Amino acid sequence: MSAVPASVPGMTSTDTQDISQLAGVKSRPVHAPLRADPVARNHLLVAEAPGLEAVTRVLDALDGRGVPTEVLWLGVAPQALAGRAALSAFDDMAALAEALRERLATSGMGTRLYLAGREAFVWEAGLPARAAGLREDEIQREACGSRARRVFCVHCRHLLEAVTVNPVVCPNCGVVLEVRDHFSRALAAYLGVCANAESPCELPETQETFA
Amino acid sequence: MKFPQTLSVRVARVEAVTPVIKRFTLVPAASEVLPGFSAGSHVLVHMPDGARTYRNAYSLLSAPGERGAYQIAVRRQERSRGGSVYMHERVSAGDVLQINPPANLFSLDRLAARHVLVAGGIGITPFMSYLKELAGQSVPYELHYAYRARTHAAFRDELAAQLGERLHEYDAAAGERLNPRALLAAQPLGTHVYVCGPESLIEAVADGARGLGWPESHVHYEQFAAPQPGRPFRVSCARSEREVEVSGEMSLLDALEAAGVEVPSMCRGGVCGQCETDLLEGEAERRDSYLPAALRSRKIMPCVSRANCERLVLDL
Repeated sequence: MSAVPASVPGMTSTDTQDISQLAGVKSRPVHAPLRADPVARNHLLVAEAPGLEAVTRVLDALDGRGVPTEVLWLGVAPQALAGRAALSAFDDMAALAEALRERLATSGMGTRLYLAGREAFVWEAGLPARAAGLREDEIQREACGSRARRVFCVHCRHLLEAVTVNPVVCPNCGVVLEVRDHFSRALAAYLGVCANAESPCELPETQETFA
Repeated sequence: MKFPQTLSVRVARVEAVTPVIKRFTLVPAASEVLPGFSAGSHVLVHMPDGARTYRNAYSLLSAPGERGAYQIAVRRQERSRGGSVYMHERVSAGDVLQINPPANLFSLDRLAARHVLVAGGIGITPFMSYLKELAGQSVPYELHYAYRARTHAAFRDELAAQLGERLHEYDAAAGERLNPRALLAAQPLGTHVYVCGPESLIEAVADGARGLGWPESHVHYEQFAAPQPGRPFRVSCARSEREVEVSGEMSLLDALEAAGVEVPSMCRGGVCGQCETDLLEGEAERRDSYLPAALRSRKIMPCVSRANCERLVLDL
């Protein structure tokens, strides 16, 4: 397993090279470190534990600017953030998503959304932003921590959470899925496609790939 | 042949909409129906005038998907290079015109949460098709229409009846001014702004949006910058070995076409990129809004750009 973080723009991680012939496909997310956007008039940060360093970096950059800034946190909010910005903590993704939807509905143009945490988190947590009409130039994501993938089974439309192996068996329809680098922003998931459709008797070796 | 095929249309009707704006209804002359189009599309109308042909882009006013007829509105330009005067004085019902099929460089954003349309004067035209499409959708929208006087406000009564409170008017004759910054500052997240009109209005809206932290993806504008006159110059076509004189009043593209040099073109206003040509020698006076800075020394958009020197050499 290579230690190259896929969050470095322009670098290709080698974590799927054994199985996928399509490494480097265009839809595969490339993440860059969060940077405070100097032209924004309102900053909204959504994060979980692995994203603490990234969130702190943005808050440091915004310090003293007087621009409204709020942090929505999944899990127990870290002490380090106390008093640094308006801060709300949520027990689960559903509550976090609801709070984010509410903030987006009452925010004005000029707002920027920052997401930091596991790769699966930054995409899933950003779904309400797409629905609210935000575009990629208003959203930044920094993937930190686990690279486990959310996988969409193209055969039965089941969403598999926290997939670390490739191929993986879909628990809903039983098809052995090759986890592709093709990524759906609308589903916040990588696409899983039957791994042995051409030769049903053969199965690629399972590898721990997305740790 | 690289060019889009042209369509023959017959002028079914010509109506005066204001003292200086005429609406033309065009029906198919050689086919059953016309190609379909999306909101914000335009057509290029060919106007042969002796040795030269004017080609002007006009937005389609009709409802998107209307295939029985196209409608365009033409404002008679005081400093016309010929195209708008030609339409006003020489085109009448029954005439057959050649047009390029519709193309769209100003389409509605289908994922927007809200649409704010800003029109200045004749810049109302692309929004006529927008508004017909938006009327059937659930996404909120509003039109801000600035004009110099009520008598010059094309389609104003029709829009007032159709839009009700969604129409906001700014009548310069009554001292009313549109304040782009105030308008943009009040917009909720997910809003897209579309502006069409004079360059000063487009700049005020685009600059205002930028200053308020709007990302580029939410700001849309269309301006068919009619090619402005400049100093005369000479152009050498390296491949066809032709020398062409470009007069001060003629655009480089018009001059090339008049000399029989074929250049693919679409918007003829410096935005679409279709006429991009390699510049082999000489310095261009850049007037387009298409070429990225890095390419400006090696490429030229002949529809609007000219020469900053006596002679250009083009790869044509």
